[in-house]
Amino acid sequence: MGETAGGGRASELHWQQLEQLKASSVLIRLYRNQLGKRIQAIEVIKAVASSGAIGGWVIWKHIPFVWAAIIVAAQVIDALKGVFPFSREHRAASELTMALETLLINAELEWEGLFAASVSASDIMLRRARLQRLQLQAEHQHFPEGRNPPQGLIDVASRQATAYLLNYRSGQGRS
Amino acid sequence: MTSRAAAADRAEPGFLSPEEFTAQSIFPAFSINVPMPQRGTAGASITADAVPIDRAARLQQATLLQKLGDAWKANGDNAKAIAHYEASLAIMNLLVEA
Repeated sequence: MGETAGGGRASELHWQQLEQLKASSVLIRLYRNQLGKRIQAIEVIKAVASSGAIGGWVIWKHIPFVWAAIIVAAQVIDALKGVFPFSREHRAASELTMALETLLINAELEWEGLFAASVSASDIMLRRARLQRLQLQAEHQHFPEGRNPPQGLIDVASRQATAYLLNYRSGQGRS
Repeated sequence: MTSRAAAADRAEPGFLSPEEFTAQSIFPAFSINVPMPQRGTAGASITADAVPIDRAARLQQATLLQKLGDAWKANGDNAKAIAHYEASLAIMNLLVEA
């Protein structure tokens, strides 16, 4: 009977870990997309300021303040690229997105195994510990200095993960 | 989590409590709380002594249906065997979810 109670609690903890992993996976994907848009905007400003300099000057010479603003923006971006390393962050976020999504696929498959078969509580705990370890390893590999994702993205990730898991749960109930 | 459960967690080698995991992760603790799917087989099992009398009858019914399923399977009628297994599983699900 003790094994049954422990197994129930272990399963609950494993499910909670799966929830956190799904939300983390959604959050890092949203963060990657946000960084991608910022990089695109920055590249547009830099391209306008550099390659189109001569042509732009001819076209906009009667409104020099617009042109000056673009030049200043490009210079500020260059000066701050060490402070806000968007490209590096974007690459790290892309790699972590792939790592977490792969881990999630494996974790869901493992959950299906736990769901369908009678597995001991200690075995479930070991699988959960492995899931935790793999997620932390991936995070520390791609973001060794840590990262605080924006609160707005955290809220969206929580909502999307909840919707996904409710759907996933009802699918399991039917099977 | 109760203090006993937290102590048990700490006793597991390499095991992190949800709080410890969040402290080490770059992600916050998300508020999700989708109830775990219930089917009674993920590390749990139904034992006869844990089931009240009216539920014990249901459990007996489910077991009987499973045995009938086995009999149909042994006779080579897989369709009937599956139907009996599914009926047995449906009763077990009811017992777990009730």
